[in-house]
Amino acid sequence: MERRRFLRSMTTGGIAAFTLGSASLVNEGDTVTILHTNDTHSHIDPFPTNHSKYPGQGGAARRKQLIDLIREQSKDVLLLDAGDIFQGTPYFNVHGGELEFKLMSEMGYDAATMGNHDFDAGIDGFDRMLSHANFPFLSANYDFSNTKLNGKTKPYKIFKKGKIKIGVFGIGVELAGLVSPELFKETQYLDPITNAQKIASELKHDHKCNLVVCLSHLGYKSKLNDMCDLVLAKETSHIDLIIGGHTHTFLKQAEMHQNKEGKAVLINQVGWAGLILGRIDFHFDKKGNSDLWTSNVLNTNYSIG
Amino acid sequence: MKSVWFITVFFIIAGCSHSVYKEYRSENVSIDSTYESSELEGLIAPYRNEVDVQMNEIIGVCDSTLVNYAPESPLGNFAVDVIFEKGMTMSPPGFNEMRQTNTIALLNFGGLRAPLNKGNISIGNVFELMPFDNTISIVRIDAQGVTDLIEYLYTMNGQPISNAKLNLTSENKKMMIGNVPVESNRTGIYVITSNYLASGGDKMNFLRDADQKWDSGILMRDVFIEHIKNKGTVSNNGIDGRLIILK
Repeated sequence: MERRRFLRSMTTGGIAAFTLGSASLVNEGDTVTILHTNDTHSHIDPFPTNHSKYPGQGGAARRKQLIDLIREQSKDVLLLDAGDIFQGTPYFNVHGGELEFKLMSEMGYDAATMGNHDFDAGIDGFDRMLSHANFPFLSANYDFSNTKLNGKTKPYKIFKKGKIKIGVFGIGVELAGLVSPELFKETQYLDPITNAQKIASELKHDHKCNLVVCLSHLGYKSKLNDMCDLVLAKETSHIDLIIGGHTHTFLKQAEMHQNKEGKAVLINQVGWAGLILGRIDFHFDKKGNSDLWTSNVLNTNYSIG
Repeated sequence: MKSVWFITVFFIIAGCSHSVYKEYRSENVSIDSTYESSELEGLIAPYRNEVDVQMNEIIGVCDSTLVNYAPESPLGNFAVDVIFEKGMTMSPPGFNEMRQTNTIALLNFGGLRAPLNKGNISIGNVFELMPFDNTISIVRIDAQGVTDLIEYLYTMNGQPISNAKLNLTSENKKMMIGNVPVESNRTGIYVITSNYLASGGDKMNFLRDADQKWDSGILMRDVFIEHIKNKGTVSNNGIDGRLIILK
C-alpha cells in the first residue's frame, strides 16, 4: 500500500512535468526517436486533391522532408517500416517496386519487414528489387532456406544510438490463404509467438538491448482467435514496442498493453499509404538500472491526452 | 490538427543490468502540404513519366459503352464472364472436380467502379474499372450455401453472375448451372469470385462461412487486361436474361 501511494503521487508529478513542457525531461538522459511507417503500398505521390477520403494527403517527398526536419532536431533516430511497401498504385505494376525501395533508401530507412503484398511479384520479383534497398529486411518467422531469398534477410539487427542499444526484429503474417503459393514458393511460415519470444529474449538478455522493437505485419486485431499484435503483445515478454501493419489501422498514438509478465508493451500503427509518420521518443534514465512499472497505477493514469 | 500526447512511465528499481526507457512520447504526424518538398522530384519524375506512358497504353477497343446496373448489365456480364473463364483454367489443390455443371462465377456491382467507354481502352481505363487489388478466389459452398446464395441474389436484386441462369420470384426460385438444375449438385457448388467477396464482402456470408476456400493471388485487373489484349475488341453483348428477378 505504501508503494502504491508513492506511485500515485509520482504519477501526479508526471502530469505536472508534462504541463511544464518536455525540455527538462529530455535532458535527463539519452533519447532515441523511432520513426515508422507501414503499408505504404506504392503511394509515391500525394492523393489527388479531389480524393474523397485523403485529398492531397501523403506523398513520399513530403515524408522525406518531415523525416529530415526531425533528424535536424534529434540526433538518435531510427526509421523503420512494417511491410507492404509494394502494391497499390501503378508505380508498382510498372516498375515492380524499384522506386519504392530507392525512395526509402534516400529517406534513410534503417530496416523493414516484409508484408504479404511484398510477395505480390513473387519471391523472384522481390529478390530482383533488393539491390535498390540499402537497408535490411528483417524476418524472424519466415524460413526462406529453400528460396532465392535464402541468406538475404536477417531475423534481427541491433542498432547503437548513443549509449542506447536497440534490437529490431521482424514478424510476418501467415501467407497461406493470403498469398498465392506460386508467389511465396517454399517460404515456411513459423510460429510468430515462439519466434518473437526467442529473439526478444536473446536481444534483451544476451545482447543487452535497452529497447526491443518488433516490426510486425500480423495486423492489429484479427477476427476470431487468429494471430495479431494484441495477441503477440499479450503472449510474449521483452518486447518494448510493436510497430504494426497489415490491418491499415490508424492509431491516434502508441497504445500501452501488458505483456506475459505484466510489463508494458507499446503497439503503434499508422494507417497506410504513407499518410502518417509514426513517432515515438524514448527517454532513458541516465543512471540505468530501471524497470518499468506496469501495475494498475500506470494503466489507469497513463492516458492523459 | 496536430495532437501531441505525453505519457510518462514510472519505474521501480529492479536488479537489471541495463537501462530501460523511463518515459516516452508518442505522436503520429500527418504528412501533408506542410512538408512540401521538391527534393526527390528528380528521382521520381522519370518513373512517373513511364507510369503515365504505360497507363496510356492502348490495349484494345470497346465497340459500344458497357455500363453497370442491377440485376443484370452488359458491364457486369462482361466482367464476370471473363473471371469465370479464367477461374476455370485454375486448378486449386483439392478442387479437382470443378466442372461446367457445378461452377459459377459471382462478383459485385460495387466492385466495378467505372464503365468501359466506347473507343480505345487504355490500361488506365482498366485501373478505373478495377482500382482494387482484388484477386480471384474460389470457394466451395454446400447445399445450404447454395440456398443462401439464391436468397441473397433475390434480396439484393442481383449481382454479376456467370455460367448460371436464375429465375427468382417470391414463390419460386430456380437456378441452373451450365444448363443443369442446381439441385443435381447435392453436395454443393464452386464459386469463382474475388478475395473480397470470399471473405464476406457485400454481406456474402455464404462465401465467408464456407469451409473450403482458395485464393489464386492473381489480380482481377490483370485478368481483364490480359483478356482485352488477347481479344483486341470488347463487344457490348447486352444482357441475356441470365438473372430474372420478379418481386
